[in-house]
Amino acid sequence: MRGFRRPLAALAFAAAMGAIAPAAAQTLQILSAEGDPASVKAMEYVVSEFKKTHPGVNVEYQTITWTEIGQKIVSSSAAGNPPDIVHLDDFASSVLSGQGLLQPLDDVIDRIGRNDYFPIPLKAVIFNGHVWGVPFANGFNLLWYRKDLYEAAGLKPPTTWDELLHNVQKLDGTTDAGGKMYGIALALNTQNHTNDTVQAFLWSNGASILDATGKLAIDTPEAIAAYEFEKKLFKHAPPGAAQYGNLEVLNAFATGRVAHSIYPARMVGQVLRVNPALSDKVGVVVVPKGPSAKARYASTLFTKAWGIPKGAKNTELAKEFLVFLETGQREIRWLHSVPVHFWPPRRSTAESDAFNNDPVISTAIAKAAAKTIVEQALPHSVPQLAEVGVVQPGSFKVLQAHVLAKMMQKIVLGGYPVDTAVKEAVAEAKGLLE
Amino acid sequence: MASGTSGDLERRERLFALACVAPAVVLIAVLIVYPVIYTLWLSLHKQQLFESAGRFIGLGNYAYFLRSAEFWRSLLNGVVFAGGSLALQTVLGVAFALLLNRPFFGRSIARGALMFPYLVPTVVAILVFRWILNDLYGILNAGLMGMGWIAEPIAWFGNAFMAMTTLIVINTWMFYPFVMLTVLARLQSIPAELYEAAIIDGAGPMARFWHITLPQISGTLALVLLVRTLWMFNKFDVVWLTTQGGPFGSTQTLPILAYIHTFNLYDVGRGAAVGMLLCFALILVFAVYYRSLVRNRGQA
Amino acid sequence: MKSGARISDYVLTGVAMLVILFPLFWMVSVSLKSDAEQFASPPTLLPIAPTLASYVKLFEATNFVTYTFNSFVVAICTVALALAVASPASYALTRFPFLAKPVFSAAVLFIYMFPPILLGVPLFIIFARLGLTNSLFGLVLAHTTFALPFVIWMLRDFFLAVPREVEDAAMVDGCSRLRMLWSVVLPMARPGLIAAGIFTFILSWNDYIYALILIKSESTKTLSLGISTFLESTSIEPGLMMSSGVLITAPILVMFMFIQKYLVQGLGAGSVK
Repeated sequence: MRGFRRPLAALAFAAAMGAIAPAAAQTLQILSAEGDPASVKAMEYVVSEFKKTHPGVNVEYQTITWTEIGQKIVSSSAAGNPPDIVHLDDFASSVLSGQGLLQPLDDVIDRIGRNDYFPIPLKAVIFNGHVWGVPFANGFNLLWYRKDLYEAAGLKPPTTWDELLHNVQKLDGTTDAGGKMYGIALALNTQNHTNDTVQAFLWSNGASILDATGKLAIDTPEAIAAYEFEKKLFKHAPPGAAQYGNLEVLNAFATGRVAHSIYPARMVGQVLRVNPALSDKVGVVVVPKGPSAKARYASTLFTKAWGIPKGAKNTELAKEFLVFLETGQREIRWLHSVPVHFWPPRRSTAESDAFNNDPVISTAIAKAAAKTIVEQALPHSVPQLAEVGVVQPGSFKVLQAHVLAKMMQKIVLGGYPVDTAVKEAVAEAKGLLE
Repeated sequence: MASGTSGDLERRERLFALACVAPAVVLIAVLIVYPVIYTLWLSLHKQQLFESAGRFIGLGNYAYFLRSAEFWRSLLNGVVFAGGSLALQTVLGVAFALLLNRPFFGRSIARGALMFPYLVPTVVAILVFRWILNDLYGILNAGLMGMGWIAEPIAWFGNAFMAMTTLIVINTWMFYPFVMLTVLARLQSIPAELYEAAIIDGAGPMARFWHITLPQISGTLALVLLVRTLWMFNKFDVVWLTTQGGPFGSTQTLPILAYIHTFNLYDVGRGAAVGMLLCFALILVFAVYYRSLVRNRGQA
Repeated sequence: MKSGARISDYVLTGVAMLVILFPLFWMVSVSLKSDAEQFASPPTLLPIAPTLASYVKLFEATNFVTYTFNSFVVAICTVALALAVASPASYALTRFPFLAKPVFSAAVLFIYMFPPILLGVPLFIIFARLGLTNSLFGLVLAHTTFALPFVIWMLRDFFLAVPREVEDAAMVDGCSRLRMLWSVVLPMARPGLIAAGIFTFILSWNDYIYALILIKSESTKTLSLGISTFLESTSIEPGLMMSSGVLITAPILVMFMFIQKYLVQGLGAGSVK
């Protein structure tokens, strides 16, 4: 023991010191939640291209989970050591810029072409009159259904809640090769996808978390109708709904065990990977409309954007890199790393042959998704914090504390009367907003 | 102290002793005591995670939590989680230790194998358990259905009771080996004569367990229980990675509450207040335990 | 102890091992399945067409090797630091009454009560000022917060078990305290050092929360943090989860089988008598 412990420890310490040695001055650090192996590969390609014109520059692409990224941006800024480029989700642009943690990026948008951007997605990154993020992809929450089962049962794609419920009921309990089929898979765990799902039903009935004046609106009759409706749907969900988040909803549908689910277009890649036989049996629409007079089609828009934190060491270089990344063949490569789900933020890219001539984009399921996105989702898309037309950073806290998710869990799993659960949610939300 | 001490030797001894403890004291002061004091200071402020200085609000954060039902429920959840885990761990750990203390071929392999769960990183264990318990592809539900014991998959996290129970079982799987190992070690040092005498007196296996084994291992158990109580009450990763405190907060314990306030809501002051309240609760537990421990341990 | 082995011993041990080890067996089994088979319903107990595809992907598409290296470095440094600092301290506490050992022992245990969730945030802020966030050295220091009290507490009883006569004899021979500690006491307490070192290694290797709070970049991520990304990753692949689980766990288990006897022996000799 005495013989080997010391040299070994010395070696390990030396290694540790080596691993923490400061990086070269011209290193761009990118912090991102896009850790899909294909995305990492695409970024490596972009970096190698960038290095051809910038030989002294090093780019470090760091990935982290969705749950952690906000915390990391905030805490590294607090530590005075933020990355040069950060991945902003829907909340980040307004919340972080509101706290003065980001640099405005109007100049970058202008260099790429402001008028080329789809208007609603661009709105998601504008706050207090400035652009805080360079959108790199748009995602949409969509309703996926089994076309083959619809045809067999003589069903039509749903456009109203009643039709959806009817179809869900009809297909629940049928059996196929894999075993029993469930009506619908929806997220219900304490993670973000549950927020997205509840919000989709709120919107489709004309409700929202806060109203246009910033007042809490989660207990309006339209909102309560949305919870009641979701509760009915959950009667036809797989039994483990309490654990259902991204992973479970995605897999339940992709492996053919449920007839419907609400999920972004990442579904395309997952179906092709684990169950390609399903590819031409899938239909997709936006979330149907509720019964209220204010009901509307509304698809959750996930704007994915790049931001530059205040205090970043290489701001100019970072801007240059962003323009490079978001144009030409580099952008196409990046968008193709998660086909369809990374929907182009600019019209010219979305219509280009380079984007559309891709083996995945040409599959039946991808084409179906693309058509729905262009015709229905994009025109009706709503950024999460701009649900009432203006950005309400207050709803960030309600979402972040999972108030709606906990409320739905009480209603669906806890057997709480809806009004009790809503009352408790209102009390909690008020405590957060005070 | 060594005999025949001159004043000089005495002083050198003291110096040596101080030199021995100094590095530990310094590290503990810098890495533990100072951060705790800093947390106390933070807990008296309204401060966001990204602000370098907050606004002093006295006991405002504490008042907020002591009035909030969420805090008391998290505390209660923690008691249930720690208590349930401890009880199960103790029963399983002692049972396995007794079993593995018997002489049989392959015993040392069994000992090693039954220690495995303790060595598996928490993240890995949770990944595996979540996959095993999945309602559609999980082997457990498939097995139960295959044997015809259930018709529908069981929702292992489907309500407050199930979620807490499942969490306790997972937690027990991961941490019973600690109890098993320490009890096993203690069992090996019980003199065989005690049992031989008892057998001559005609004591059966149950009587031997109650009158010899249990008293002999009770000191060990008390200490293990104390350490375990502190650890289980502080457990963050198991709960966070499995349920994030859900459904509807039914498995949310104080460490989760602290994390949510600090890192999801960026409210360092409130997060720190939860941390301090958790700490006070543990001090209380510790005080009670330690008194009885010191009494039992006697000379040491 | 006294009577020989019985059939029931084998039956009970067999059942216990089946139940306890099943999750590990399942991890291995899933890691060897193809993408489609992982989602088979009902699941297959053993892979129908075993494949190493998940392992290949783990090495090609993720930074698994970096995570592993980082975890090893951090765990070994934590063990080294904790043993180096805790051994003399723990020894002194058992030998010099003026250090008021009961008070100090209580204090050490007391220190246990500060959960990582409590220490994590202030440590993060302090480390940020010192430039120690996102560094392996910072993580070692953070792990020291639980390792140090633990080792001091654990070694205490091993040192108590070293007979005073041995030390007195050495002193008479003109040995200095330091030399005696090094060449007489520490070797005698070796099982304790090994046991404490292994426990510390495991605690550090398994840590998730400090890494979660302190580490952000790919080059400094440890295994637990790195693979937790698979749990929430946007492309969810059970094969990656399970194959990484196998590779993280296997070396620890193998190492453990070799040093097992020290652990039982060590705990038997001291710690919790």
